Amino acid sequence: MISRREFLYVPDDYQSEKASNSYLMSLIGITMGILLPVVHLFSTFFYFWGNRKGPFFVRWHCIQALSLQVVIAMVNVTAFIWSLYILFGPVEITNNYLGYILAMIVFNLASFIFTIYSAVQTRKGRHVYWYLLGPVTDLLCNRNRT
Amino acid sequence: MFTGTSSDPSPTYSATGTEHDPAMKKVINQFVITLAVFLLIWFLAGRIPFTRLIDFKAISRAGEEKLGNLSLDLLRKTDRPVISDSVVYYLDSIRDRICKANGIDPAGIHIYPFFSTEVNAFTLPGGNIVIYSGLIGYCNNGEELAAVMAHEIGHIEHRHVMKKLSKEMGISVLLAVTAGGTGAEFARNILKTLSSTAFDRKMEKEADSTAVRYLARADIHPRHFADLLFRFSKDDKDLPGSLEWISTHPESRGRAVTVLALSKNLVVKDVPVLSSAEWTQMQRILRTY
Repeated sequence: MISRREFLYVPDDYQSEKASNSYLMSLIGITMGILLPVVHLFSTFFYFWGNRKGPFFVRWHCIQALSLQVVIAMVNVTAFIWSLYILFGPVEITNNYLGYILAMIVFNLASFIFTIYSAVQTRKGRHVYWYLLGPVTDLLCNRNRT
Repeated sequence: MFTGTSSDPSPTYSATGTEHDPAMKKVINQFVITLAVFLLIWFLAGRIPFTRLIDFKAISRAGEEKLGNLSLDLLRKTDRPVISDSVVYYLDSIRDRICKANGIDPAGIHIYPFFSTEVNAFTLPGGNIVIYSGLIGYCNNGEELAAVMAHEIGHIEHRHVMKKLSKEMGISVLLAVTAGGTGAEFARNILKTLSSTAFDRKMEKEADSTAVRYLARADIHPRHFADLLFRFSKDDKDLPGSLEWISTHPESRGRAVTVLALSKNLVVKDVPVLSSAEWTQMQRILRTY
């Protein structure tokens, strides 16, 4: 799911810290106890926006962290809307709904662990490359952009 | 989970189109696999019989009962309950007739008469219906009172109370239902919300049409309901502000017309719920308070 790869250059300590922070940003909502599904997405997006002209290593990891939050937000928003329909609409609690909630919890937990692991590794200047989101980031992140 | 260090460099960081084709293919492949894994987890988790293992309705019912009891305790501090075996018996007999004719367990519906000049009736969580003596006095006969009760039972059966509370008071209500921990201020808010604000139009319409069905099955003609609503709409203009049930149930005239339309093709025997002697006795008892 996660592999460590060689980056094009060895990032310095400043870049490693900035890249590591991009992962920590997505955890801010959790530490603040905010459970709304889009808070993590916003905090990660704003961090990316602030670093969009930063060094390549920082930008690359900002986009990888952001892409994870986009995926997780989609999963969580679906659960949120479904829950609202149950609370305020005619929809009943079903095994399918609870199965979805369980799958959502599994994905959130996995993303939480991956995020912490990635934050630690990038702080050490290591390049972590996620399954699916690594290739997506390769497509999205342009090396030459300054 | 974590594959170790790899010397495989990232495929490309170039923005040129042709180099991206294999990368795009890789993204699509990995996206399909990830989606399949998620769907598989969802599918397998959905096979777990959660709803059989956990009785969500029982949890919800217990919480609702607590909320209802808290609100009733609070109401007893401000309004005087009608302590009369006869009145309770008459009200319960109307409830039983509506419930039994419609396959509803009467033990789940509790009628609490309170002494007040306010013409009002409302439903509290836990299947508790509060009826003020002012409303009983306003009704011309037992059938009109039965119509009000059928309407409130409709709200209970459609779970409108908790839906309304969830909408107006937010997630705290749901937490209170599951956790059961509530304070006096919270109960006060519930009481205020349910006794003095309206359900939304859709819920009222639903409760009205349900009431028509309940009344017809219980051999009570729904026209009594329409009569009451027509009188409400008329008296609302003459006596502004005195009829609480109207302010919480707006557009009485339109609703009366709808009730008549719904009952147009119904063949109902219309058997009185109380004899005139019983009705008179109940009115007399309430007046003496």
